[in-house]
Amino acid sequence: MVEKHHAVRRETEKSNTAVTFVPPYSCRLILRPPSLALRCRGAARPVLLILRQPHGIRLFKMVAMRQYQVVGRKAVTEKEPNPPVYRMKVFAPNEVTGASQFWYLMHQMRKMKKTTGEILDIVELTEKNARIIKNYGIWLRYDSRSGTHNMYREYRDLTLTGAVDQMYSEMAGRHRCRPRSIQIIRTGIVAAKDTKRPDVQQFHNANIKFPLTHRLPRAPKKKFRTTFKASRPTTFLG
Amino acid sequence: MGFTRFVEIGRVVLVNYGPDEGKLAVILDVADNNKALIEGPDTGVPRQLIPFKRLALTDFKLPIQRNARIGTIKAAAKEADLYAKWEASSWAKKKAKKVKRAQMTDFDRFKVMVARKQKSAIIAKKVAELQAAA
Amino acid sequence: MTKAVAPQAKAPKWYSGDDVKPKAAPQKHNPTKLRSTITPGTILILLSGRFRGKRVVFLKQLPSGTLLVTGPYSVNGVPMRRVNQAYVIATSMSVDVSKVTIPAADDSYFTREEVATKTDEDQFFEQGAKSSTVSDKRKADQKTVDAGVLAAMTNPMLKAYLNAKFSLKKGDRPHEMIF
Repeated sequence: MVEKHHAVRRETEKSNTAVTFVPPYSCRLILRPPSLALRCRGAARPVLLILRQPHGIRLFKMVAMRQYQVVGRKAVTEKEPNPPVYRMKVFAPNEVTGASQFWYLMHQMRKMKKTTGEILDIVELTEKNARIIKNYGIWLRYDSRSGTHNMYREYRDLTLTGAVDQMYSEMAGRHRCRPRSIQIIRTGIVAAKDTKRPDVQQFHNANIKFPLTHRLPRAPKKKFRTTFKASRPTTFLG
Repeated sequence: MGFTRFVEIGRVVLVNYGPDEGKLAVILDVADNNKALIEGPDTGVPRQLIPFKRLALTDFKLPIQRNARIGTIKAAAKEADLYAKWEASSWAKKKAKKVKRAQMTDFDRFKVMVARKQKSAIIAKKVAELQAAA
Repeated sequence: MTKAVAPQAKAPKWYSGDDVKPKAAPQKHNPTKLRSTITPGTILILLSGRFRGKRVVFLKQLPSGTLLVTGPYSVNGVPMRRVNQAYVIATSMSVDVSKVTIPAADDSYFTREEVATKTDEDQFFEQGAKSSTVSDKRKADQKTVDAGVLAAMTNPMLKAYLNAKFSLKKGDRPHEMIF
């Protein structure tokens, strides 16, 4: 199982499109016994997918979004004994919504739907190197109140899922846009020289240096917070 | 008076909120205007993005490159004698005192009370002597 | 498989108009658990009663679950007394009381002698005179226990500590403090 996942993932890393069409004849997934494919859909799945944190770092908060690779196809019928298998990378808070996203998007592109299809595999994709900050470019489309727009945004983060989280928050804040009206078209790591946004570019300076102005002392634990203070705090801390 | 402590690569910071509260770490990179990448290999702070709200900048800075490795940070901290200097600072002493006070048992508090009384008695006696002499 | 046994007694011809409460099974009280922080010799802070705020030495648990403590009497004026462990703070300080001879006190040891009942009028006039007296046996016991506990108090500051009263100061958070 593990080997197979790796093989699939390597293929995914190469492609930049959100949907990859896998020709049926070359796909090893089809060679799996049907029972396994069936078990993959149910709750009693033998493969336990643990929601992992990226190796070696601590996340400031548990990320809301995870990246899943979902593999699915139409169910096998007598008419179509060998339906093509499709693979898609989606962002979702959990596997269930991941699979749901797969069907939602596949339904728009191909004549297939959840009731007559099957999910062969869902695997979480984690960041290869979550130890350095990268620039992530996110291409997206979203429905505003008056129309549909395409957009390109850049974020600096340790993980792609972290960047996607930032994107959802920012879209909500700047455009009052809910996650249901955002579709991520493409994501990628952008080299510093290729970045477009000045608010990202300003942090590419290795000799960056700025003070923190107007600091408020913070209680070390939430329970020590107070509404009122006996004395005005010192906000200038050199 | 201008600023003397800056957010910059190599700046030693004190985490003042969250699971790593009270530990020293080093800024390795700046993500955006709110967050930095920090790590404290000697103090057990794992590599993480952390908002500046949870950090307090110290006077110390290590000469390290962006995204420095654990070994490099450790070596730089050792070279700069960082932890000894930190312990010697009044900020660290005040923190240590606070921790020690919180750890005191009821009997310890009693002993401190007695010692404080003795101290003020000595001072009062000396003051009375000096006043009499004057 | 055995058949259900038919009820022996005949069903009553009529039912009582009032509810008849079934007799409750006799309740058995489990022995009170001693808090894990309290062991013989532990110094306790009393929180209620006449001696609230006093620090005392715990001697043993009585069969009723209450704690037998002593000041000692010669140090802070607290005689051998029963206290409920719920009204006590256990400190981490303790005295070795293994060698102290503790009188075979149980709860009856502490019951007061009944004063002959008198009419209201008599009581009113005799109020000043009426007071329970401590038996000589208890006085003697107190002396032996005090001597034993005092001999076990090796720390020179301990006597002053037991003599001092506990109180909360400004800014003290008792739930955050270590005792």
